[in-house]
Amino acid sequence: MRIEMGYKFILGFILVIAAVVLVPYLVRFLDLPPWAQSLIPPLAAIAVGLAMGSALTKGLTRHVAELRSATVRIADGDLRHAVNLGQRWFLDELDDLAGAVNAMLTNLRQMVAHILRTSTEVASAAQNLSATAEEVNASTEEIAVTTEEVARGVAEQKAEVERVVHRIHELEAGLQRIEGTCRLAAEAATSAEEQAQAGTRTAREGFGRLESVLSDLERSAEAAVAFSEQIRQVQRFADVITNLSRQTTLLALNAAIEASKAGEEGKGFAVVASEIRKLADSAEKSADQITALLRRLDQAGQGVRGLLEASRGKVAEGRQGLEAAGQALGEITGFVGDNARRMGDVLAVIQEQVEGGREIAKFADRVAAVAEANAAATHEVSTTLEHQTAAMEDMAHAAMRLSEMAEDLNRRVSRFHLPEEEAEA
Amino acid sequence: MRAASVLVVEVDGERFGLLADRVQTVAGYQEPVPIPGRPKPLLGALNHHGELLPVAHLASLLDLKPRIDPLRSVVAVVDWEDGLLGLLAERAHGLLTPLSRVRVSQVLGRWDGPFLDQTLEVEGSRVHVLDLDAMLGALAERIR
Repeated sequence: MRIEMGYKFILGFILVIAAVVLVPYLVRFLDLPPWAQSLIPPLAAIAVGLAMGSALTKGLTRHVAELRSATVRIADGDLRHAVNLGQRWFLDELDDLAGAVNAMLTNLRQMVAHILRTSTEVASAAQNLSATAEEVNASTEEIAVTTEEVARGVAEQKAEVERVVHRIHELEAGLQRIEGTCRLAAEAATSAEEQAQAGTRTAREGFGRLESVLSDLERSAEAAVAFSEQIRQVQRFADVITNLSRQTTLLALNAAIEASKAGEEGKGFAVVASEIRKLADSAEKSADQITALLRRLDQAGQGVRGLLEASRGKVAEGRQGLEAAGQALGEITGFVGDNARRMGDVLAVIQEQVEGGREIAKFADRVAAVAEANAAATHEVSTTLEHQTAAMEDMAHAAMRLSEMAEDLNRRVSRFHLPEEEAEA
Repeated sequence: MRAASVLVVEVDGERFGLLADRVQTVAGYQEPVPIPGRPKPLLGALNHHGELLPVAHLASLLDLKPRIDPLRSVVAVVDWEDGLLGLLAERAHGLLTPLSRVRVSQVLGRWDGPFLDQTLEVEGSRVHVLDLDAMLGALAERIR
């Protein structure tokens, strides 16, 4: 049953009042001297007052002491024992206070246990964090070293890329020059093909005329042979004339000799013989001149004939040469045409290569830009890593500090003693 | 000088004259047939109208270089001892008759060989007339 403390004091006061009121009444019924009757009521009131005061005070003091002891234990960190005011008939504010203290104790136990667990976990986590931070820091340093190497590599790569880009631009320029040269060569090949075709037509016309000349030459050779034969026939006639003239000369000479021997009688005959001899001499001279002329003609004819005979072989060779030249010219024309077409193909390939080189140059420019961006990014990464390293060092330091704080908290909370079951929990 | 006709022949570039009275005939050149054991001045022999005609080169008798032109060389047949002798010359230039245009020169030409009788100058050319008797006599002596 619950009776608040104020009511308890009121009840005690009522009992004292009742004692004051009832005891004199009751004493009347007793056969007591008057002094006793007059003395007993105050004493009874006092006794009731004392008893009530003692009972109330004793209970209050014992319970307060218990509460005080509990709070002292709590203050000393002993959270193992709850406040126990014992079995009481009339509950009051002290029981409420004990219940509140017990509730607070329970909360404190839970909080301390939580703090202990949390601090332990925090300390462990802080240690882990510190270790992790150190590992991360070590890793970050390694990453920083690696990043520096990467940065150097990227810088070298950038320089290499720039050199490659430069070479590619040179290659592109070279390809363009090759393209120009190939274009000129293709144009020259086309022009050469046209000229070769024109030359082939001209050469074939020339071959035709040359063939006509060769035929004329063959006919001339045949005519020269016939002419030479005729000259020989004429020369044979001239030889006959010469022979006749000489014989006539000799006859005239002998006639003159005989006329000379005949003296005056042979004088007329000598004149005739002299004239005959002159005619024979003249005929012989003419025959000699004819013979000399024929000889020269024959020599010239023989020369011409020899030349023509030699030319005949040469004509055959020339005809074969013409045929071979015509065939070779045709082959050359075809070859020049093939070359022109091949040069066209080469020019097309070169133009594709130039276009490809242009694309490669653009791609190389983009690669160079990417390499430059990579270098900048790598530099930023390096800077970020430096910052991260510093931050990780700060974090490791903070983790250490947190670990220390957690340990300190744990140490501080450890002075609270919890029940074993809760401590184990 | 006896007025007689002279047969003019050419030997080694020089013209020589043979008295026409001593010349039987002039024949064209025929290659002499060599005679075994013949005397050195003789070239050989020819068939002259069925008779054997010994032939000597006039150049050899005059100590000149003998040359033969088969087309122009002639053989002058002359009397020689009891028979005939053929004198081979490079060519015959004709017969000189004793006309007024023939001018006799006592000045000898560049040739001053043996058997020279006289030198005639005819139309700018010199003709050395030979002493046939002396020359043929010398030949007969050499043959003997």
